[in-house]
Amino acid sequence: MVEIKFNAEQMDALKELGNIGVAHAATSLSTMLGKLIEMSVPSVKLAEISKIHEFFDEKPVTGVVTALEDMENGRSGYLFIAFPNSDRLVKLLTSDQSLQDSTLMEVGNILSSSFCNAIAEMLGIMLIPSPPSFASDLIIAIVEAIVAQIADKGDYVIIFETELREKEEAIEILVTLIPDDNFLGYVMKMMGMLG
Amino acid sequence: MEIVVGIGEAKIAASGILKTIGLGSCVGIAIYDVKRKIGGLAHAMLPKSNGVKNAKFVDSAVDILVEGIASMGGSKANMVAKIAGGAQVFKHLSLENLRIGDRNVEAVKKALENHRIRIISEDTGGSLGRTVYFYLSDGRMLVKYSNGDVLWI
Repeated sequence: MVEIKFNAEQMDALKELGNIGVAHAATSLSTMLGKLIEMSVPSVKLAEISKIHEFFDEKPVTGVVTALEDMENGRSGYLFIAFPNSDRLVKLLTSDQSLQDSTLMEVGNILSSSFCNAIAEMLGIMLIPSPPSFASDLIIAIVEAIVAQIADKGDYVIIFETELREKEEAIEILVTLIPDDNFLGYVMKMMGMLG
Repeated sequence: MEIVVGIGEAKIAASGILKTIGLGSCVGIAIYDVKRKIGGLAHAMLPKSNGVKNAKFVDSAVDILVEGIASMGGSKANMVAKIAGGAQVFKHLSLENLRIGDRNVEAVKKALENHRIRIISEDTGGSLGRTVYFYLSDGRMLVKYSNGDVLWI
């Protein structure tokens, strides 16, 4: 395994990428709901797979997983959007509690396609997202099962700690990018050029 | 004392509790020398090594545990194993057709058989993530499901 570290400039560039991704998502959500939703990425972390238990709480979450594929260059990865406070989020977005799962699914869809576009645009590649899949479990169990899918080719995940805000209320959403080594290497290279 | 075993890691100890969090499709492999009370726990992700000896692969993880316990004075004749994990976390993801969870469980059974180490209990499959605690004082293993249920194996 290659030891990977982002420098401060590269981390800033990643945060910027995250902010572009969530800004698009916030606009879509605001239009859909007819109220002002703001989103930002206050912090980005690069975590080694073997240490992700230091980054995530040990409690069950609901989330949406999308596979990303850059067909042309054979790079791939996954986006996992987790809602640690799904009850509060649903309450904030809809008054109909029976829509819990479909509301989360929709927010997950909007976020993953916005992120996918932001990443593709920033990296100058074409990324094709798969239809999203719904999962409800410990964050670590879900991330680990995703990492197993990209076989032995991924050792790191990038966590965008996202905040969704409506008026005074802020709710945490975790957007985790799980790239294979090839994809991560490319992200690093591009971030280095931008930083 | 609680020692956390990360994803793709294997750790050996002679006292305390070895813990691994969030086993999804991965498998938790505990091997215990019942006489010397030395044990190890691994959190392995994939069935077969690509030639590199790394605990993220089930076959390597078993080798690493057996060698580690032996190097601390344990002997293979006294070793037994307990396994947990290998769930199918995603219900719809097409890639999950690869059945990594099932293949991990099959691989660990085969690797242990090659070492002639007996599995004395197991809790595998299903669709829920697990956290396991392996008590080195007596070899008990606690499986905690992501829905809060617990099970001693």
